Amino acid sequence: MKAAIKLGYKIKLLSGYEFSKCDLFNEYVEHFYTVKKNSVGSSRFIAKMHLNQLYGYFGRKQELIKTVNIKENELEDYLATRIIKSIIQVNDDTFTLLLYSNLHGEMIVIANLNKILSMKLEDSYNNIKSNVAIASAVTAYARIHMIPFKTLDSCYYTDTDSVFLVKPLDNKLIGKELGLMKDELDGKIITEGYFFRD
Amino acid sequence: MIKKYVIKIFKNIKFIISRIINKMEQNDITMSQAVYKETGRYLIYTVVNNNMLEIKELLELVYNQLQSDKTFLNFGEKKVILINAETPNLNGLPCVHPNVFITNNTTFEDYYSKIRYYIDSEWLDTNVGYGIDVIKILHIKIWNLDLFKNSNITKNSLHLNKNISSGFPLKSNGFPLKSSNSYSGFPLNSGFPLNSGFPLNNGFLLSKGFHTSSVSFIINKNGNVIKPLKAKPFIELNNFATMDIETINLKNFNNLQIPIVISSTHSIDNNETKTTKLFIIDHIKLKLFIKNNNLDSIKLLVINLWKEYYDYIIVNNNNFKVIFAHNLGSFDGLFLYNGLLNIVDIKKLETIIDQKNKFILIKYKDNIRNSLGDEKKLEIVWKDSYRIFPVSLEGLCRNFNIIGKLSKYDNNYNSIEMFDNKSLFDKFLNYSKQDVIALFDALHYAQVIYNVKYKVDITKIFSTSTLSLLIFRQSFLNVEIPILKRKLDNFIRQSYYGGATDYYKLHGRDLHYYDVNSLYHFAMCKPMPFKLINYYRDMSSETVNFDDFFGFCKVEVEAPDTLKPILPFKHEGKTIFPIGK
Repeated sequence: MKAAIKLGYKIKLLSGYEFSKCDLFNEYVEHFYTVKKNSVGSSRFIAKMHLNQLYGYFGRKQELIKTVNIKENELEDYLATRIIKSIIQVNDDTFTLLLYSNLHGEMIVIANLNKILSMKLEDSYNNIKSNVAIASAVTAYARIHMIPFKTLDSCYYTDTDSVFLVKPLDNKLIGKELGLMKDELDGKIITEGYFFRD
Repeated sequence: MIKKYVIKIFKNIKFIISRIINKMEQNDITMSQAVYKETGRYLIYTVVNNNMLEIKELLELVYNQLQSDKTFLNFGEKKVILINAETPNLNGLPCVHPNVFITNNTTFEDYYSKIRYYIDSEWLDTNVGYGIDVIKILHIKIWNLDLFKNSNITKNSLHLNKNISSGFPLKSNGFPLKSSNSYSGFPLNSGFPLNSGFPLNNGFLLSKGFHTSSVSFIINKNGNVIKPLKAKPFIELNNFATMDIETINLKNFNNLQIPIVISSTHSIDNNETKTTKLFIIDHIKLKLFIKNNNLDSIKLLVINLWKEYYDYIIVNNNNFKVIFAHNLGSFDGLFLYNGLLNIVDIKKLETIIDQKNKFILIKYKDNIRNSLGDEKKLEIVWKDSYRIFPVSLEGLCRNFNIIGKLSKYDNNYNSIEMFDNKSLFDKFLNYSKQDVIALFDALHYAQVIYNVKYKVDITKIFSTSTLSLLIFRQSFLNVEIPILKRKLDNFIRQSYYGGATDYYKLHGRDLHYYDVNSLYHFAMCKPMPFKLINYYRDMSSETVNFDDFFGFCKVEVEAPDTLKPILPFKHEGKTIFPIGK
């Protein structure tokens, strides 16, 4: 938001939660990034994988989903008593159901409107190991990092982590270190390009 | 990169053409007659979305057509409706929306208000949902509640607007519910989550009126944190087995896919000696039954094939508890689960399935008698090694330097004629043997590496992310990360957006293309939100030093009129970057 204010955004604060700061992942990222940079084969493969997979874990939804395997004649009971996320028909008379077993987010609304059904929701309290504040901070930092590139006059297109510019970038922004830009075309340019909306 | 754009162009053209072709058809939707399913006691309608209508539009048509359908109206007054989607990208039939209660008088607006949030977040949202806005086929299931013989419902419907606590029967008709002790956190009988009925979008966090002093209410104090873990100096690695399934499609039976070979590899004497076994379908009989068009007998052959595998697993169970299949999540899991269902009681099988209906785990627990008549406890878990190492088997072997997988899949393997061609059949058997051994070798090597480097056993986790988290907690984490309470989670989740893709000009010449080295890893090295220190109920009146503020706020934004907006906002599940107020 502070970055947005500089660009002329007017912001009125309503309510908010303030957090203390903590360096959580620096050692983890440093370890795997060094391994990735300096090795080949299995070590590089492992490092790359673990670099990519951690932060998303913290953004996992706080919903508990339970799987049950039932016969078709039990379906009705479940319909009237549980909130069903998915039905998989395994064979003629066997179903696998994915059930919400706690109330979270939107499910509160559905349960509320299903009051007539005798909902059996087991753990109304959740225990999923996640922290969306962290996941949200990671993606927000990433977007903030892209703002100066996005707002360049010469910017034609941006992706999560890439830009197409009509002018070359200052050399000091290019390099091998984390967060610096890499010239994907090695100094070459795309003579003509069309961008389509999905 | 260029490929990416060619694909995008192609997708656009395809979309336009399909739109034109479909427009020629008369009706937007085709709805089948109702079919009554005796065993499950429900009505089912199938709907085809002819003109690629988006979900809400589609549901409106469907709902209104239902409410004028005689069978539907006469089926009963109080009903439960649940709609499943059939889409090529997702296994099984995920729900378009979960089961909700309706009556013959419920309007579409009322109905849609019940499910809107679910559809926005589960379907339309590209970040946390499927990112799908067109569903081709719907299966609508309707249950009649008037007939439903459940005393709870009658009881409940009498106190419809009273305390919902009666809706949480702790003991009732045979459902295994935990005792009331297991409910921690929100007291259920106060009816808090259901009765308060707070609106989800606006200011519900404020409605309860807690101040900064009640911050403790939001942070979990009672041990709900992600703690650092201490690595054991020595861990005993689990022995494991691998399995693989080869299938063929039967042309005469609507391309029905059946397994014809199941292979298994495990080791004895601490991974010194490997044993590999192939189970092969009785192909002489198979050919005969195909010729006679005898599907039931073919199914029996498949069951027998699974029985052979099952018996072998039971006998050798002392050597392993975990069996890995590479890509259990796709077809192998469904074949295996189906196979096991014909052999063991459904209640002895436990499964874990992910958001996209893919198997994460299949567990079989039983007590069995050995030849001496002694009972022993048995537990076998099938897991997906692809979830831990999301690359093809070939890639896995390459990355772990396993020179096991020598031959490639030959399309001639997918035909019953193969059984008559001895050299081809031998080649095929050799191929399936190679696969299951190569998987075993690669995973064994990985197990050793992970043990040496990070003191973890890959047989004890489920996926790359659980493995990453375990390594993180054991080797890198030195503080306790709080797990956010529900309200705080809900509040902050509204700020969780992915990256932005934007096009400012549609055509350009002489472009330079740059991308950031590991943008997300770079972002991860910034200071992270840790402990909640303040809650500001009204930031405009309280003096907040915004320059030093670090956290999450609800704000009103007036954006400059620019071509390049930077702040994201969620609208109907889609992330947009608006301008203006």
